[in-house]
Amino acid sequence: MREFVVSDGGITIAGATTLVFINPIAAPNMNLEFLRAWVGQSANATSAQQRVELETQVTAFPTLTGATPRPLKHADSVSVIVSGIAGAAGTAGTNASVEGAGAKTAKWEDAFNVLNGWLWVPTPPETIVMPAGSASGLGLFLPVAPATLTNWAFGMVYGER
Amino acid sequence: MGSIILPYMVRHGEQAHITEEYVSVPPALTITDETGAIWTLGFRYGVAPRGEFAFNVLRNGLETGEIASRIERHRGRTRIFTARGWKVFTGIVFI
Repeated sequence: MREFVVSDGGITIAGATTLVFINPIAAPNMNLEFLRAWVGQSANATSAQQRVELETQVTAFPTLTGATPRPLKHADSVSVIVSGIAGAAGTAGTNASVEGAGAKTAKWEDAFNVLNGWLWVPTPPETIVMPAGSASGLGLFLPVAPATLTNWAFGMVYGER
Repeated sequence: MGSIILPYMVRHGEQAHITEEYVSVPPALTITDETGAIWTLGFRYGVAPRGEFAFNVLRNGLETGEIASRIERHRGRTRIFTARGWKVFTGIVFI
């Protein structure tokens, strides 16, 4: 399996924001197995709890900053997912500026202390698989605005299979 | 998975806090120790304790040579859970 990372760092977010959004490509093609997600910040030394979600979203998708998935194994070829700002099928983006009207469905809900950040590493039966041709993408989402909006780092890792 | 270093794996600016006792990576993203070092798990798979994933252990984004499923603050030290059980960081190596 080939793994790819979509991440960003040192980012100022708008509030309750989709941090990463990855939408599987049209079928028949590779399915995406999500292996890791993380959120952290380096701006605030004050202890505070922050909610986080992994959620699916159907169209209308968020408006994002385009992000090209990077292979974790440097010699791997490029992903079937490409950079995109509209959250469309086969694209990835970060730090939504507009959330989009499409319904979000939480797959995984958690909360973390902003001093420590949040790392999701599922054991194999708990990985999230988004099949090619899915009507929805998978997002890493802060459902409530954090107290400090600056210097956030976040990302997701998926494998193509 | 392969290896890649990302911004959150290293310290940014002056040390602002020390991670509390019993905070564990995961589900925390990083641990900050009393020297200001940032501990986290990398992307490279390794030999795992039974039933768990294990990855390379990074200190300030650099390899420690250890593979673990968890990093934890415990009694003022950093310890890791490996396929051979718990190891504690002495300031130089894990024993």
